[in-house]
Amino acid sequence: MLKEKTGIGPGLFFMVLYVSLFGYGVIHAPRVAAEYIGPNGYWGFILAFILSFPVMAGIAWLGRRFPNCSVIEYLPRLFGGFFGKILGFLLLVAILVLMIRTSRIFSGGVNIFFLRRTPAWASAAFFLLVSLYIARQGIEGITRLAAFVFPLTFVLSFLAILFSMEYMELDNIRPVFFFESGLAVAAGTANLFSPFMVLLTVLLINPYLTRKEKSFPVMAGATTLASFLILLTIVSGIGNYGAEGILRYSFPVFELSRKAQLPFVLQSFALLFSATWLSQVLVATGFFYYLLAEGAADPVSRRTIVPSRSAWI
Amino acid sequence: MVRRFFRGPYQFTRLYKKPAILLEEREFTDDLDENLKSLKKNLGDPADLVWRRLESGKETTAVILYFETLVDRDLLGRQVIEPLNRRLHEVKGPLDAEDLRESLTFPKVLAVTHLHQAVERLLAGDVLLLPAGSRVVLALPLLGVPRRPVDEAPTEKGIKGPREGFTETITDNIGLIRRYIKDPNLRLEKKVIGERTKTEVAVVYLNDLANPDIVAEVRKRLEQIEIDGVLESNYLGELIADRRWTIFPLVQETERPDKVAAALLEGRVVIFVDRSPFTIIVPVTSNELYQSQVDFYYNPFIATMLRLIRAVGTIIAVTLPGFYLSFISVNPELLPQTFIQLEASSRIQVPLPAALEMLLTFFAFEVLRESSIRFPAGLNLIIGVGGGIVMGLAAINAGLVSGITVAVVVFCILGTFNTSNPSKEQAWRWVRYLLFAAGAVFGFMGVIATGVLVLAHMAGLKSFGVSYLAPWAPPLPVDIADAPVRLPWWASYRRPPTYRPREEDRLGKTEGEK
Repeated sequence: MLKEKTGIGPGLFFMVLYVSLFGYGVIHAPRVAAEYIGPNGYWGFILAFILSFPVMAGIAWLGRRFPNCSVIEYLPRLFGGFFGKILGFLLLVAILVLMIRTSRIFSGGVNIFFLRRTPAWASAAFFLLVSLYIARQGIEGITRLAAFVFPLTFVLSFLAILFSMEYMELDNIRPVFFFESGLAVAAGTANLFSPFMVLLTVLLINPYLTRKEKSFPVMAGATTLASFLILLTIVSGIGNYGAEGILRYSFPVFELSRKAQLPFVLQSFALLFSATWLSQVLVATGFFYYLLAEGAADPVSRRTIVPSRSAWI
Repeated sequence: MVRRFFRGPYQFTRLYKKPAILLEEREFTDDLDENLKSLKKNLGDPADLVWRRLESGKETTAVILYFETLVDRDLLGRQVIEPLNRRLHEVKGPLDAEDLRESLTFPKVLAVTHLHQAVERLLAGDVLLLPAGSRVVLALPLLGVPRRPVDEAPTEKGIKGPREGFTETITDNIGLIRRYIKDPNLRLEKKVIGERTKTEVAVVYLNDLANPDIVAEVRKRLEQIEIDGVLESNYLGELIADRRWTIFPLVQETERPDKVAAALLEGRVVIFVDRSPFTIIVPVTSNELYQSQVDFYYNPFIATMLRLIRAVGTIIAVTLPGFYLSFISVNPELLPQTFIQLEASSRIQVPLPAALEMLLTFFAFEVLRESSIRFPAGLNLIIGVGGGIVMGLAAINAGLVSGITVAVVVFCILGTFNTSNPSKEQAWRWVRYLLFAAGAVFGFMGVIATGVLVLAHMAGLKSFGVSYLAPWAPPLPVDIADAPVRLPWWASYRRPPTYRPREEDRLGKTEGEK
């Protein structure tokens, strides 16, 4: 007899993490890679991906060390009351900044490509309200939603990126091992690490994970899958437009997915790609909203406290 | 407001606090006339209340009291009055309560000692026998109201399979299920709900399959209901649902006994409500509402195709208005050139903006749909179809609406009937208008964002602790295999784990078996 699930199992954990990593990471990755490193900017992302493994190991270790606490609860134990709370606050601010930045990017992108006559504030407010409603469903609802959107969004995103490679020029990404300077690679890697900031959320959802011993393989799996698609996007972006050409576009990924077409049905694959991307960003933003509210409630040791949650909103 | 927005999980609370009716809870006396007077007083001496004295010589031996509108008078004459008169004639003297009881050949006689109990029995259709000089009243169940015969379920017709549907009589409905499941583990618990209607409710489940937590939860939620009347099963469906503010059905209602039998075999719990042909099945998932019992009477390949048509058809019917409107009014650049030309040429004479044109077309068809339900049976097809075609063509010819708009609207209105559950179909109607509004204001991305919003709402729903989006979210591979496709019977050896049955193997091992 199965028991009712009240926490987040490995499957749900994988999907919510994948959706957040891909949704928050894909849109600017080709541009950043090309801007800092050049034609073989994908190396920056590969290095960032490799660097994410020690971070994941650290997060998994902390999760096992403090199995029933979120980072906000155990930071004061590690660093003392005052510094612990300051660090917790800074972590929440980092997540908040990441959320605001991505929200701004995606409402900007949507406005440029789909809603040119609509004021930016109107579409941003609409999308944020949707995210707020998603946050209201609680951690179970959010993870289930991520699980529901995962298969379709994964397949469509993958197809969009794959089809966009049809017109790729291999010369645009060659020579493969040519780096102009180590400093540029380091700067590019540091900037391309931003998609992996999403992993910080695991520190906050740790108490909800039902199988903590599996948190590292699940994190590694979700990160690898999302990184693989982001890497393909970077390669396709630079391969299609060249490192310099890509900088001409505000949203090169949208431009990229315009290259793929569904004859007789859709003008471009950008439509399906943007739909899947928007879905993932909305779920991820709802997830971040929820975690911020939850994290803000923890410092006063009341996970259910309402005013501090709403203050974040 | 903010506090309520981030409230915790839904807690089931009582709706009503006070009992609606207060009857005298006193015992009967040994004075027959006083007892009769008290009963008549408590009932307000209605015109259909009949009493008849059984006399032996000049003395009254007993009084028979009943509602002539409720009892089977033929049975009353044959099984009560005739034997009693015969006995009185034989004895030629007064009879006490025990003598009266013995002289009846009635299978079930209830001895009642309190006034309020007697009133309740009388209102339930029993005949009361008040013996002289006794503090006990005999209640004889002789309910004889008209019954509808078992007929085909009008809302769930199928080409194959049994033609039986439930009726308004709870005993007949339970009998139909007993004919399907001849298992001693079939448990039946009866309750009476409704202060004034005293509606009989039966909870039915298979003891060795149904999850005991779910059975206990059903019992608990039913016990918490305090309401003046239950006229239909939806009253209970709403009151026992996990969340009140939702458009989606959180219990499954069906008129088909075979569907109920299948649900019981999956380890689910069934609630019968007297005077309702709709039976409640819990828990339910959104996926369940796309599966028809008829799927299991076809070859798996045909059934799979039917399921896919049902699911894809519903998705298109719900989302098409939103997408269509967003493509023609906000994001035409997303369509191929040929579509844009086709659309532009069909709308060249239409004076209304696309959103208004479509809204009015929808409204006209919704009005037709609503009124067609009340057309006389013989005229339904002629007026409904004929009127719809004539009106649609006239509107297109007059240049009021475009042909594509009419095609989209008609397809969507008919397409939502794809779902095999009427409540779910109504829910999708709401969602369709929501997506339509989002498409009109925010275009393609508005439809997507609103779709995610609806999905988020569904992801937050549970039916008796089971996720509404199961088996997709959380993913349960065993169940997913049987969701879009219909597994052949030789591969369906497991019960759906979604409903957490006690025994997952359909032919589970007996204790001690290896």
